Amino acid sequence: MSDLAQIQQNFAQALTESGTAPQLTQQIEAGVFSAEQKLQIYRNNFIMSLTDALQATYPVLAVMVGDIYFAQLAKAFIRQIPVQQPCISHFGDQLPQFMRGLESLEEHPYLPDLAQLEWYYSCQINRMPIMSQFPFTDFSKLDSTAQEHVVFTLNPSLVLFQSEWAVIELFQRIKRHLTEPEHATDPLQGFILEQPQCGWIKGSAMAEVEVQTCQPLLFKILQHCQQGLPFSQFSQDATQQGGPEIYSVEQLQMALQQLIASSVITSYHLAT
Amino acid sequence: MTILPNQVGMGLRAPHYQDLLSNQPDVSWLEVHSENYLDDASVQRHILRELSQHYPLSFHGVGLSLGSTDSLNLQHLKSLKELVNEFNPALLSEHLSWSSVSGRYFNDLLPIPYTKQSLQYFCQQVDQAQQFLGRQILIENPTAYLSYKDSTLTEWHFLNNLVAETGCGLLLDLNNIYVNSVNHQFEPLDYLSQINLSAVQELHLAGFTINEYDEGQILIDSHGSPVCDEVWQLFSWVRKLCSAPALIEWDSDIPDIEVLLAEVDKAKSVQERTQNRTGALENV
Repeated sequence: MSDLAQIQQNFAQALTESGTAPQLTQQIEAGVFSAEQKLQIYRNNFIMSLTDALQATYPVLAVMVGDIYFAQLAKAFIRQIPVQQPCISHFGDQLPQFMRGLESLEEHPYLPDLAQLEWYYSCQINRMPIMSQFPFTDFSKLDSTAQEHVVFTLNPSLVLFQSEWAVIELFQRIKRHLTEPEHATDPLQGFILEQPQCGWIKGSAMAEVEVQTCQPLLFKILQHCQQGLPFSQFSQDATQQGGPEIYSVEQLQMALQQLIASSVITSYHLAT
Repeated sequence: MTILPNQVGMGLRAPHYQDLLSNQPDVSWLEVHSENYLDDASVQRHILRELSQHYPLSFHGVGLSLGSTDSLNLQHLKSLKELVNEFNPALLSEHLSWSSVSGRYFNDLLPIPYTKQSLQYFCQQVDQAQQFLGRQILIENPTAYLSYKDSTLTEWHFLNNLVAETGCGLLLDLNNIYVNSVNHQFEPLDYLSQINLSAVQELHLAGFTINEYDEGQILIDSHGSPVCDEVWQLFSWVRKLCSAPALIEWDSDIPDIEVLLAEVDKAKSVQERTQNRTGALENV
């Protein structure tokens, strides 16, 4: 290993843990400040700049856990999970998974789900939404045989999300509290966490993202569509998968209309 | 669009997007952090497309890690090349620093020792980057809070040699020189009189913060405050010899755009005064 490579290896070690690179401190000019003090500036920059990046991505999570815990969480994450890209726009994608392994969060098992939802939101808010109109005219021309083979396609920006806890509503409440501080009431007033929720995250306009709960039937339809299966198979598949209900044609038609009107289903193709 | 000599620009930051799009204030050019615009489908890239219709651009990178002993990240270079090909910025720059080792990135500009070995290595990396990108890049002098005992070259010698070996240009950050001069106790004019000013194609002006300790103080290159008087004086000195376009940088505690525009105006005033004085002397 070259001298330069060795210095950089030692520097990297010193950034993640103080006092771990005595070789490096011997190579640094001391003056008014010691080599270790000078390294501490870089150590602080490393942790603080990436903490700022996490704070920008996870403001709702930061509110829920408080600034002090968030800073501790960020520091542990930054030290343990190496950044593997020069561009930090995707930094923090592994935070929800990292949180699932933390003993300190065992009493708050909904928080990793909240972080996961916020990650999806943060990804969407920085992406241009893809606008498309459902091709009603072409669809209306399909004969009954063709309709049997229709596979609905979802909005490309759509992310489906479900949790054992009401984290979608929790996210909506805290987000509103952050963006509309003039509504200064307790954002969690009347909130019930212990209820499962399903829904979606979808870009709706430039720098606007829709985070929406939906009925289980709509969610099942969307999961079915996501698998690329013909819609005509939906009822049969739902029953086979242990669904208690047999859905009426009217129920399914209403659900479809709702999903198309919400630009969640944006197109279709015919299964071969 | 090209950036003309003596023009003063400002760094493009997200809080000012709307002001720039709606009001198109009188600023000659914009510098962007390349890494914020690499995603072709991002809102940021869309906004940059809009702004590029009105302002010349300079792309300033922090991710190439040219001083690292890791190989250049080809995926990152490819993304950068796509960005450069789309916008054809007037200037393209990176830093005299490293930020990754063994594939781990530290999101910071870390110091290299100024030795013949690291010069040779840095030259190879710059050569490779320029060849891949198909154009010249500028290298910025960094802020360094420490120096290595093994260094055998001064920073200006290192940069001058780099220019001679690779044909790269220089981005001279006057605030970095001032911050380093205080932290490492040297005369900034010694630096400025030794650096190859003919290779300088862009100047940076920014502010710093002061961290106080029992032992003394350290200036931190925070880019979160107005340019200080001492840096304006350095700017005035450099302007007599170098007409490279100058930039107001402000990256933390970002104020309203009016504050940055006032700094832009101040830079214009300083250089006008300098040029008038120089002209008067020439007439004599």
